[in-house]
Amino acid sequence: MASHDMLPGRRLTIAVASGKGGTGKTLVATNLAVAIARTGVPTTLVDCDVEAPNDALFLPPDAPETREVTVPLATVDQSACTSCGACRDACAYGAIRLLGGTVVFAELCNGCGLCATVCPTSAISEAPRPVGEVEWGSVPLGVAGPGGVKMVTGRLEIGDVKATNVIRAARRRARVLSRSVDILDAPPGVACSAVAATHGADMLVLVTEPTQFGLHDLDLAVRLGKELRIPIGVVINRDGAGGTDLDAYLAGAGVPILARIPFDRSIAEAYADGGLVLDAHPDAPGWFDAIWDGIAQMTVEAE
Amino acid sequence: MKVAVSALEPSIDSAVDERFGRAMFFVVHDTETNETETIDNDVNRKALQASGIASAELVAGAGVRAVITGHLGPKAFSALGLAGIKGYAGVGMTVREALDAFRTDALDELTEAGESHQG
Repeated sequence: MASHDMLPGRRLTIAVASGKGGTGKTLVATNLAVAIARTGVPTTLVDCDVEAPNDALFLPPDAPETREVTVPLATVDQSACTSCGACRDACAYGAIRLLGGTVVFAELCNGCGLCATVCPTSAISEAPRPVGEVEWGSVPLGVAGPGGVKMVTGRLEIGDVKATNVIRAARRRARVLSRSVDILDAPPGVACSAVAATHGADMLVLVTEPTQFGLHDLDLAVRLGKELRIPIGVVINRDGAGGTDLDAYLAGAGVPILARIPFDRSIAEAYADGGLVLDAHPDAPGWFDAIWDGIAQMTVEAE
Repeated sequence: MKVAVSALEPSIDSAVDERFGRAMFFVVHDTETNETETIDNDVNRKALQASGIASAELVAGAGVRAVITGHLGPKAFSALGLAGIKGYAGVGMTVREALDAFRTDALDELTEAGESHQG
């Protein structure tokens, strides 16, 4: 395929997302990363589904490094605090309350630091609070040669709510690794964490399935992509199952179909086994070539 | 001792509001002076999040030492705990009945948080 000819000297960020969960984002993101790497293009796969990251189950990196992700948390020195309430009144998130003393609720604190600047007795400082980690490493070249895939995983601390901070940290790590193509595997839905995982991408690949739920949530995701002004292409997964007609909707929305992945038992078996569909189904390299070619065309047109 | 009862109406004859964070009103009664005042919980009732914390702060600021309500969410429970305020269950009572029961130690203390967002 010709698409990687245009890549030297240029970086491309592709977000793989979906409104509905369970449509095949992980399947598309992992196989697309390897398909691109196998054409010789250095690629990074960033698992931004930080509440349930599982790309690395399919593409485990060798000897990964990890770094903790922290957010600043307002911390009150009670011996200096006069309970005057200035910080409480300044906090836009209602994270500081007067309950006997001055109390900070960590899950509401956005780490903006305003409280520390308004405190007349300098009783407030910001301390790092761990909310998750980013892990990264190289997938063995035997799997993803010759371009190679660097696997970056964002992992949110269980029970924490700061998903967007962990997603941003994972994307920063990908920028440091500075490969030709970054693939961002976004969390499902269209809320803050999906926005954090897709905004600024050059291309949005939406994975959907031909069911009523798939169509409903695809529409939400298409509207998000249009709001973020990202070119959108769709991959229809489990094509042939479900029976809902997505083509009419997509034609009306002006969104092209990049590929159709059939509803096929061998695909489900390979996936359940932690394998790559690329290596399990004879037609799979063609599907992912088509996706990659479509992305290359659309991102050139968008410039 | 001041006791706040979550209430559907601003009256001592109102039914107890089962919600704490998003209670309609708080009837605050002083068991020593027998004085009663009502607080409109309008702002917290409409809060996007963490109404339990804000309502806990509201009653703490009024000098309350005990609350009577239906149930307490996790944030309200911890916030009241920080302020040293105990919670009691008064489901299905009027405010007046709940206060009478409180005076005779007939109310069950809420010793653990319920589910979030019941209100």
